[in-house]
Amino acid sequence: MSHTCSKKVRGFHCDAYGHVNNARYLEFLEEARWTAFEEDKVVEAFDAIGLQFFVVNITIRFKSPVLPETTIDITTSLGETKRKTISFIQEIHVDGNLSTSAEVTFVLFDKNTQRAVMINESHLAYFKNLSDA
Amino acid sequence: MNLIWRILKICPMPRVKIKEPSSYVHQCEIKVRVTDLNYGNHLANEKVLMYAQEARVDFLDAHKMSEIDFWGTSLIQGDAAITYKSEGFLGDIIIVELGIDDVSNSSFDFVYKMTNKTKNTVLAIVKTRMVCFDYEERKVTSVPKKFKALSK
Repeated sequence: MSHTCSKKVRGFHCDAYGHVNNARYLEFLEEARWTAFEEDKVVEAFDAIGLQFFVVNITIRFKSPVLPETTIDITTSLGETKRKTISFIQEIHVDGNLSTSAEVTFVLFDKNTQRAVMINESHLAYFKNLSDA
Repeated sequence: MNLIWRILKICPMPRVKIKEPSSYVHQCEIKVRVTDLNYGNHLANEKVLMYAQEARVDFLDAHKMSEIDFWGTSLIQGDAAITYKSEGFLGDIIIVELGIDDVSNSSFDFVYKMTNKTKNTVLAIVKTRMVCFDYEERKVTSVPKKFKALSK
């Protein structure tokens, strides 16, 4: 299961080459993650237990350029989880065709202890709507 | 101890492994601007990819080239990988070193080592796969020989 949101690409999202700048894709992906988390009240839940998301790695593959006035669909789903990291798989589609794919990896950072915490089932439960499991 | 360093001490195995080149061929300095910060009051993660482009364009400009005119062809970015090592803050001076690696027939890697000169920490390591591309013909082209010579 994944979360999907749509966005219209505007001229100010694009660079001198006339298409979306590669760094701007990271903003689109971040906005999609926040939208998904917001709908599931994930941010409030993690804030209540004193945890923050820290990005530690991003890999992104650019398949085709995105042009102004295009509507993009951004999907977000839970990826691989490890002892201390959690990944989200995100894709940008234009008219059903894959434009960009990315894996964004986080740690959950405890504001009180100032340390990354172990990922456990209770953390993953917040992402059940983004998971195939 | 810096927060990120603490995290990395706990998580010593980042998912992305970026191999650094044996040497770097160019470097430039970037000062962190107020508009580069996010709600965490530190350098926003997407800005790191912008810094990479800034360094790449600076390198190309030093050779009187650009992303559009790259020794007779153009460059497009096929993929990118970023490993975040520490935070950047307003006014910090970031040294971006640029290296060339894994040159193939039609593509190559630019590897960027970003060091926070102000804090004396490594900020991030970035790799972008650059593909040589003819915009008029809409097809992939060979890596120019003059650039290959630079990478040796």
